[in-house]
Amino acid sequence: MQPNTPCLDAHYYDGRSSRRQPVRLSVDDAHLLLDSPEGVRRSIPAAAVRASEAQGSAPRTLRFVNDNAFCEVGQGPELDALLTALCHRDSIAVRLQNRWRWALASLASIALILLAAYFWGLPWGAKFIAPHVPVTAMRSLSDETLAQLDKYLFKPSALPEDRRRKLQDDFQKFAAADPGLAPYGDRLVLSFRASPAIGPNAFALPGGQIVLLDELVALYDDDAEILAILGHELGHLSKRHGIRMLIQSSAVAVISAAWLGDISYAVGAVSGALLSSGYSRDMEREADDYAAERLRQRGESPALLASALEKLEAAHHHLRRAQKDRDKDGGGGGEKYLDWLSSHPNTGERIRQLRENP
Amino acid sequence: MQADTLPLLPDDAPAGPHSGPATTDDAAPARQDEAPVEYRLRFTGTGDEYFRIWIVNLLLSILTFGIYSAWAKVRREQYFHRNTLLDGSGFDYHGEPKAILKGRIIAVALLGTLALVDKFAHDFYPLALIALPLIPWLMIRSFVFRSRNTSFRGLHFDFHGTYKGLCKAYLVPFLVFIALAGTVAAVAAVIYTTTELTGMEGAFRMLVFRKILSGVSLLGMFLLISMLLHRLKAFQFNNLAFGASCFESWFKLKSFYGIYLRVSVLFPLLVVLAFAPILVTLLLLAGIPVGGVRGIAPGIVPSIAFAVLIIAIALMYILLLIGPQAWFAVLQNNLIWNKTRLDKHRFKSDQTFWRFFWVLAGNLLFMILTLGLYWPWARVKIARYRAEHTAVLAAGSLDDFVAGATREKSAVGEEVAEIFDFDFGF
Repeated sequence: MQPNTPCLDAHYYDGRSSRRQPVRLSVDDAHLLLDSPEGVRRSIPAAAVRASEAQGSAPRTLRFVNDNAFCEVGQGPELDALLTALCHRDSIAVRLQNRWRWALASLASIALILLAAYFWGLPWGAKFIAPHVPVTAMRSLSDETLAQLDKYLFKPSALPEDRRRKLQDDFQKFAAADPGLAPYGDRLVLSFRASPAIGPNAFALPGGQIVLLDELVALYDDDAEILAILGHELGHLSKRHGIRMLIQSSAVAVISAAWLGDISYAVGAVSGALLSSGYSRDMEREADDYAAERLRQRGESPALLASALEKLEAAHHHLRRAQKDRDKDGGGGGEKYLDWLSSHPNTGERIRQLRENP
Repeated sequence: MQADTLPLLPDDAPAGPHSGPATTDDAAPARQDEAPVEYRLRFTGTGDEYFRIWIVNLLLSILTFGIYSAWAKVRREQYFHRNTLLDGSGFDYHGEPKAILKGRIIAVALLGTLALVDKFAHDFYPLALIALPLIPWLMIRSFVFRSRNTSFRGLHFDFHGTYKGLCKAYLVPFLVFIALAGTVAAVAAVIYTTTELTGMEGAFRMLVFRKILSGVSLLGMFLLISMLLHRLKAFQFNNLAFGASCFESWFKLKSFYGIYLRVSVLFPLLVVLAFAPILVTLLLLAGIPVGGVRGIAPGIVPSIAFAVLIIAIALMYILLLIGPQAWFAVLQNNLIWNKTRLDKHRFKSDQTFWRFFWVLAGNLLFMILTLGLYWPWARVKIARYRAEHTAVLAAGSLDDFVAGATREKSAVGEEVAEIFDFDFGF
């Protein structure tokens, strides 16, 4: 054995029994030499030696191709020298995971990927998938949602029967002109409700129902403005925003459950809800554009929706003011802190857009 | 014995064999010709190392749309196996990334199909019941894959359990379940048809019957779960082999009743009893009425009491959330390993509730504070605690095991089991 070749002690196992034999390893002429006082004498070509990846400070193994025997070697500079002599090279992944620099770079990359996926990938993917989801799949979900809302938030509408019939007829005529709404079938109806707790509002459920609250009807003298608002809601249905939001929130729920599920399902669920509340800015704009286009087709001006939104905004402003006054007496004010989380688009901006494109 | 232990690691010394008192607490079928030598397991991994491995492999898995996750899994298993040392030699993991990838693809396809059927064709969902007989098969495949891919000193573990064996193990609990459900249903039917259940008195009788029936059902479930768990663990450990040697376990069903009783009844009861006086006192101090009584405390005492109350409730919640889990794991591990042997060698597990509870509680706290980034450190802490409280009581040398026959290994069962969140870990 030449004095300049690396040389170290290891354990040798033959693969047939659990017997542990001390063995001395060295390298000579591109061969790994095994030598033990108990009689193991082997010479293995460097190309047939497979070194295990370094796993922390655990001993590494040197296995040999087509052989159950192997050596177990403690880590240290001697082993590194031996592996260098055997021309062993760690894989890229191993070299990355050995350095804090690369680990932290990986962490930063994962954070960036997650952010990009959330802000761009997810909306894009949902937009791509949504047209292929049959709207019938949303029916039971919508019915359940409406039943829940009826139970806790909604009251029966107090509008007179003939007023309701007139609005329903106008709505159906408005909707029938868009073949894109045909898949919703007989679920595409106007559902009349009242809710002092919510105030003037209208909602589109992904199954096709549009809920119109008495408070909103009371806000307008002209039915054309109500129809403009309903046109906006029909935009959400036609562009399948509900389904898109559902796809997005499911994806967020699955990913956060996979990441945080080990802590608690509750944490995962809460983060999922926080990350996906309400329609996005883009969806609201898309629904506005849809309503404006439909109004133009009917020979009406998109400014109708603008003025309807203006009145709605004023009514909500008034409500919030009243709420704030009440909060001053009784503490509270949680809404203020949640405001930045909700994706309510800037109504002023929307109104300006509608006015500028007659 | 000490002579042939080479200094593989710089800090190898404390792990060297030392004579421990033989635990012969009960009639173990072990032949003990000489005093056994205690080899304690050691875990040499650290959270820092495992964090780097985890995060790099996670990134690679994301960049390859999950394909690399099979390689990441092998690396993870290898990290935990190789860093677990017994008498200076590490365990090893030999799972093939490609086999795991194949298993994962099948598992994801299966899960996806089930989810789609559930979402869009709910009426056909009962058809999924056809897959029920597959579950024992999946469990066995999972045991086989894991044991055959684990080795120590060059010898592989193996699992000899058969489909028939597992079905047989579950037959008795299943019949007990049928008998129990049948009896409850029959008794209920008899009562409802023969007793007057109208009027005030009838309504009261009805209420009593319902309480008794639900009590009987609960007791039945309790007996059944203990029985199922006992049979599963007995099946697992009595079919496990190391090389050509077989493991043998003799833990009793009544011990499992004891574990379940302590974890599901005694523990919550103790926690509530311990916290009730504290909570009532704090409520009164905070000026919140309890049962019509309202405490009056001066100055800032109510605010302080309220803050302490919140902390006390959080503590109680954490205790009830992870306490039973920790106690169950500790009791079960101790029971099983202390009543298992491999040839003439025995095992010792001396985990204690409070220590393990603190490990889990600390993990939970840091996981929340770091939004899940603490995960690698948490896993390492659990692995270290488990290893350091498990020992082999070797009767003679660990050199004398011989290899068994080698057989094929497919990862399908293992991966399906993992994705459906079954945990059959040894």
